[in-house]
Amino acid sequence: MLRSDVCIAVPTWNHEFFLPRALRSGLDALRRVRDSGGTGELLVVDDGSRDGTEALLRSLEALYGGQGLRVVRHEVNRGLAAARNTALREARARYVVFMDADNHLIPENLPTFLRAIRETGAAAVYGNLLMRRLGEESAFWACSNESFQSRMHEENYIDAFALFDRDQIADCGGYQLGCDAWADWELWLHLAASGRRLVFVPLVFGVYQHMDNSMMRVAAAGETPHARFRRVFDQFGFRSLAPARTRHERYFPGLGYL
Amino acid sequence: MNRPASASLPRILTIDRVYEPVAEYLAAGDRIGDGPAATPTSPLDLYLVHLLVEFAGRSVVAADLAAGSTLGASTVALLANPRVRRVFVEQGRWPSPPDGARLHETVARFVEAREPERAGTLRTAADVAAAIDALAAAIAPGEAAVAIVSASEFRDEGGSSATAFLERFPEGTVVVLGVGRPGVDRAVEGILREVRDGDGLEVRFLRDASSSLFEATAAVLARGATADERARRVGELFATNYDFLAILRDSCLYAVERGSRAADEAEAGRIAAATPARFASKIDFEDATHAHRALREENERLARELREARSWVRKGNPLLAPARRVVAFGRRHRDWIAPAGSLRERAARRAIRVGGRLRGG
Repeated sequence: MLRSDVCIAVPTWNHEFFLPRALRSGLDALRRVRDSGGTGELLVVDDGSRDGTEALLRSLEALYGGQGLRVVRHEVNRGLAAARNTALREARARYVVFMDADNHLIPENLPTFLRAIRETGAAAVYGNLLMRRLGEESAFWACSNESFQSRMHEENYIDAFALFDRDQIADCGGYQLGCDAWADWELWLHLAASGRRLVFVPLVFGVYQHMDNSMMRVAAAGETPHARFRRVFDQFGFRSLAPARTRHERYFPGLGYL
Repeated sequence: MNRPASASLPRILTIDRVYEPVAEYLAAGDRIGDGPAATPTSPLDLYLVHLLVEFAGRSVVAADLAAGSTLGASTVALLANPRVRRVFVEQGRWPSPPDGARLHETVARFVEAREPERAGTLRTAADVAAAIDALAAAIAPGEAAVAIVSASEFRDEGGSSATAFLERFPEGTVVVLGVGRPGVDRAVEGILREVRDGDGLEVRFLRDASSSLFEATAAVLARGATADERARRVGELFATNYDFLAILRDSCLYAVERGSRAADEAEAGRIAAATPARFASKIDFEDATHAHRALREENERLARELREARSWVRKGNPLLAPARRVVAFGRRHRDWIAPAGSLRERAARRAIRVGGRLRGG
């Protein structure tokens, strides 16, 4: 039963320290969406946290439930991909933002991304992410700031922190279980290979928190999935030459395709 | 709807999970009559009902004496909890929905469609007394008795249902829904009056259990320490390491300190810009302040010594009196010591001028 236009989904596992900031940006973004005539909800999927997140979320849900905050909890930890799939299942909106608990949105820009995904019919739209280190007030880098290209098969430069069409993601099977650190890369490649459109909007979507001991960095120190992804998506090495419905798509509402 | 209740650990779900069946039930508004509920039930209040049921014991038998005023929402919340084995509702005072079905039939139909294994959990009785009797007949050893009542009962009827329930079940728990603010809602005074007149009755307003619960309208009424213990457990669930007011205070103090430090740095910059080149070596502002203070103290010390020396010179100098007598003798006899226009007179005048300069004149 869809009741909202957008669901901001925050999968979290033992990120008590960052949650208030992420949820504050989510609630502010929902207010902007309402101001522009839409509706929204903020859905937190607690993947079996044990660090105090559960108690914090209980208080926050009591305080902000009226503003659209909902909390769903896994009794045991099931992994990031499972948490995102739970969000896809529980979301009561057509469009879903996946925001990790250590990141936060630029609230003023979400309505623009909503408009972009409606106007393009894309499976996902994404924008620039400012990268910031802990304790610093300025960004030191920006990522997710290029359109989808064949180069994505060699390196993942688009973060999962984006706006998705829930129906299209669900129809493609959602996130792949078992490869949590690389699940978002796998999804991008899977969507592109399935003929779905992935559109870049040249606008800042949010702030990405750079952490030395993040799951990505820990995973990157071990085995990388390149060989596996090559076997899955580009076994014969022709992917860059094959037709693709999405390649170099850049769009801005009011201006069109760039 | 729910997994079978496991043995002893309370199931602490999220507010959204607990309220989900109630939200679905209320969304079918055309089946439960016109107009809002006399006792509105927020997700937070029904979540507190869920917690109190979880804390009551392994198996619970409940009487929902507020079913009519909540339009069945409280009944659905009770039925959604697998720990609740039986729910009794009063038949008489429920409003009739437009389709003519009785409200308890609508609730039963909804619950059984959603969770067929819960069929038969809901039972009806003719009135409050009959519901309490039926509950007494149904309760098994070791089971807990819980009743839900509306705060309106304490405004109008003096809480007779709640007191009758607790007289029949001394170890039972009564949850009162829809309690307003003291001074605004007469129900608060009604509840406190019952507690004062009752035998060992205690009440705890759950909005007081935690600052996160300030919008809660539920209260727990029981004998002995039960109400306090249940409220304490609820409060502990909402206690976190984040005291929001303390965080706000610390954030403000940190901002003030940062602003003050920035102002000091700006002032140091201004002083450095205005300082002549010979003093332009970089000096720490705090060190400069200390040096300034030390110089001022030294200056005060020297000034004090100078004043003391002058005072000594003017008053207590042992050479001064003889010198004055010599000068007085010289003045009386200057006609022959130093006649006018003589070399001795000119030398004497020069000596007087020099002496005057030395004295600071």
